[in-house]
Amino acid sequence: MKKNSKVKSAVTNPIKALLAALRGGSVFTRLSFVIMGFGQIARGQICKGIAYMATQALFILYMIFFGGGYIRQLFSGDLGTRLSGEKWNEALQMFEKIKGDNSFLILLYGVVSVVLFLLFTWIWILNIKGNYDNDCKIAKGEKVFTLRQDLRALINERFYVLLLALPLLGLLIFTVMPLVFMVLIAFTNYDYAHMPPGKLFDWVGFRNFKTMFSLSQGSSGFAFVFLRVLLWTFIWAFFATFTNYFLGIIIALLIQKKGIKLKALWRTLFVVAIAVPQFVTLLLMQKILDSDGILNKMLGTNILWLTDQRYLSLLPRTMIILVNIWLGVPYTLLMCSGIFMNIPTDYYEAARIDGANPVTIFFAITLPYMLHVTAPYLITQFVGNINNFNVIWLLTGGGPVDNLHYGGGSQAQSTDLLVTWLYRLTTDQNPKYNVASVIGIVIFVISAVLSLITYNRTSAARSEEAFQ
Amino acid sequence: MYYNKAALAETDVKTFDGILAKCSASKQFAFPMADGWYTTSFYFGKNLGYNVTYDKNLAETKIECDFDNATGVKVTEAMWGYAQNKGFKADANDSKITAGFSDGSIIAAVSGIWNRNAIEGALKENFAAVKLPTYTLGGEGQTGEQVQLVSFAGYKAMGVNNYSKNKTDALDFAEFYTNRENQIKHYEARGFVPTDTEARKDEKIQADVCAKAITEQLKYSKTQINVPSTLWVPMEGLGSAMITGAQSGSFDLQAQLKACVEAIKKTTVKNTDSGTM
Amino acid sequence: MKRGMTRIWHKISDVFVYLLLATLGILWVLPIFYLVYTAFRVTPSTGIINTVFPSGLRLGFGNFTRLFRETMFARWLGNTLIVSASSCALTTLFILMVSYAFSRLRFKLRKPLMNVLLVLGMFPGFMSMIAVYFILKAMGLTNSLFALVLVYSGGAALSYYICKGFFDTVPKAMEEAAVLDGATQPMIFINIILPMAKPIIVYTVLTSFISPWCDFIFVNTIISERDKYTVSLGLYKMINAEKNSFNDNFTTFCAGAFVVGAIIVSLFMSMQKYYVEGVTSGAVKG
Repeated sequence: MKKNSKVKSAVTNPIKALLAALRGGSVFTRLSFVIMGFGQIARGQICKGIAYMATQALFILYMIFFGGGYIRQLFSGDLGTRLSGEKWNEALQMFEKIKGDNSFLILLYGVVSVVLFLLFTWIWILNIKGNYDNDCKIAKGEKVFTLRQDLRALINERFYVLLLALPLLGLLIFTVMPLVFMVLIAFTNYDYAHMPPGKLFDWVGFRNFKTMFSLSQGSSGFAFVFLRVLLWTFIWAFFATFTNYFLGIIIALLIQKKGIKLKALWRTLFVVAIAVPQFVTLLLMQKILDSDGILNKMLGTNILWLTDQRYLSLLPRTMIILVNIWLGVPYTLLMCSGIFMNIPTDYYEAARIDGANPVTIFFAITLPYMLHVTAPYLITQFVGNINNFNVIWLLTGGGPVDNLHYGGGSQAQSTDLLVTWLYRLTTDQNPKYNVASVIGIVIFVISAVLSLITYNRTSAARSEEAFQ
Repeated sequence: MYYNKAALAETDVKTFDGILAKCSASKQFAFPMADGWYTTSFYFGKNLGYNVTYDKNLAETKIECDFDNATGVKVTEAMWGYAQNKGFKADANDSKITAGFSDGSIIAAVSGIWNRNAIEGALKENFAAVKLPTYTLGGEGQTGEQVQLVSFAGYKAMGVNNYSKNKTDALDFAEFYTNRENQIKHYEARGFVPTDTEARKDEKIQADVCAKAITEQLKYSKTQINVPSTLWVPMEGLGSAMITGAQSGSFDLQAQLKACVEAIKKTTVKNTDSGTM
Repeated sequence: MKRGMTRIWHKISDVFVYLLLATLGILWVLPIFYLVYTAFRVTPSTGIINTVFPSGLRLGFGNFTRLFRETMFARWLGNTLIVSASSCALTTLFILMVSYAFSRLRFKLRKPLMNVLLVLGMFPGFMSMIAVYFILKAMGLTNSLFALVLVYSGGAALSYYICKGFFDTVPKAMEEAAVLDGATQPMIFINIILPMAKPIIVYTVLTSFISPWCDFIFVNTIISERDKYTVSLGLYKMINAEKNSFNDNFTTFCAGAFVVGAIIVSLFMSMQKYYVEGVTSGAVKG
């Protein structure tokens, strides 16, 4: 309930403020609704006023010549109507291309234009607010800010604006816009058969979602494949996270044990494994575990470590988890070692006085403490492993291909996670960007739900200081 | 197909059985079963069909594939029989083939012309190449008919982007790059056999063992049409299941073949019986 | 009697633990050892390994000379250095600015912005990759290292958590004293907070410098000209080339991997103190 009212007030408050400015403001303020910067100039803030006016002029020009057309096409229900064609040019003895509409660029520029429109609206609101503030100041008898005072405020009280401007801009261009774009693609039919600039693609509404999730097509439809991939993604994330975690604890404990010398040496041995970049060692492992690779040659066997299809590719899946253990334990080892050193020794002493043996101590003191401290870490690892692209892609490429269980033309293979399936759909010989976007949205929803649960738990956990 | 002259005679390499007779677990005949580009040649040999109909958007509207009819089942059974042979290396790819030739564990292999230099380097004076052999339908060892492997005739084409800025120049360059003399120059540099029949009459090419093999194989080839990835991936699955099955002994031929062909037939355009997205 | 027994029991369990640790330790080091061993082996010209211990074990630098002469490895190293240095500088700057703003300054949009960034970070990176490629193409920047730098630094603001966690632990008293002395916000940021944040700055610099060395997915999408590859893409292509371009250079790959590994290890070791401090202070409290 709280969230709803927050959202509502976020929308209604500005509108209320605008209405108040309209009613209660001076003539200048009201004129600034139409001509931005008018009020500022009238009050002597020349530079600010001119800046606002220039922005307004630029924006109107942009919309007339460029943006407006794209926005119209964006919302018109079909992204572009003119198909490109060819015309024989006798003089040059070849076919000349007649440019048609480019659905992709329409979508792209349309989104850019919408974003710019929203930005402009925000600037317009700032303009009104500035005017209204000036009115209030003059009513109170204060002076309006000069340019120098404005700049000084920017550096001091509103330092956060300076700090955040550039990073957020980068974020907007390289993260937000592409994301919005890709989310929109999920509602089109953009794939290899509808590739601009030669072909057009259109809005298809929720059709992609229906095809992905509807169970009506039975075993030949996408939904079964999707569920299989989803199930494996979760199983993988679970095993990957917890095997690393518990093994890390155990090995850390072993090294930590009193009476074990050369503690640094043991730790270094394990850390050496992560010295080389992860993808290099993964490629190395792929070659080692190949059916003609070193491992088989040394054992004298012919086991298909990474391509054995039986039992839903049980062997490749196990090998992936094992290799991931090799990769991940050094990290958990380091972290757990660090945390062990922080456990207050009085707990242990008290337990020893009471005559508890090592096993009891572990389960009653060490483990609960560890779990409490690292709970957020565990959940972030879990969510991260759901998207662990490198390990799967470099070891098996998502394979082996299992027609019996992953059919339906889905391009999913038997060790695929949702992310690797997404990647393959975009880099295949016949890419299906719209399906990939649907999968991306699903991944986002899952990650968001899980992360929000963490967020709540850590806030709750943070408030409980005493831990007994 | 490349082979080691020292291990196999010219008469041996005409048939699968001939080759396999001289093979053992340590001297194998390599055939990439997990690669659809090669395994389709078994089916094409028996004239089983694979055809794709495209609509104006170059999306497949209809894919016809005969691989699972009665003949197809027999072909698959033959493949499965070979896969189980200890002298047959089904789990092969280009790098394994070259490695195998250089250490003697492979004496014959089916590969492409791009591998020629590497294999020649490995085999040195024992290098030999010939057209694809025939396999026995009805399983190895039994008296069955000999079927010639019909491969995809791969070729390279050079196209010009319709939206390029200097289209006329690009077209001229493309023409230059693929004209007769340059096709011969290509051959000298990379071993690619020219598509131009006149260029093929050049003496260097006539003398070359590989060129001879390819020219002969061309009589038994299908031109590679625009094939969507829905052909390669299911065939890879079928081959991979065979490889796993050869190890474990269990291979549900009927079910695998059916699943494979069903996946091959999936088109993009939704139609009543087999559409996806 | 009992004390003697427990001592013997301790000794036995110690031995057992030593054995266990030794086995595990060897298991963990083995693949890396294999990598180093292969990097230094002298191999036949086809560059293919099929025996573990060939008769006549010869070690040499042949792979390394081949690495630098036949592939463009030196060029790739240079590219990667440029990209990582620039993106490291930019990313660190961005992260510091954002985490400081969220941690120490209070403004109306703070909580909403933090939540928005949190949510944005949950999208998988690939989803935006294709769109980024096209945006870059529209800007005419594909196939350039500059584009790579932009892409790596563009999303920097999303990783502000650890840094912010660190800043949260700085006592407010310092700032208040400075304000009383008449310092402006920028002065506080530059002269007081930044010097204190050395561990976390080093940590951020390290992680953002290392990440271009390890990423190959983004590079694969954006760059297609061989002489603009980074080291990671080059290594990936060496061992995983597409069909029809026979290119198996396992030993050269190992040599290249060794070089990259050596660089990263030496970086880590020289900054080790700061790294551990940064992780534990930011993550455990964060």
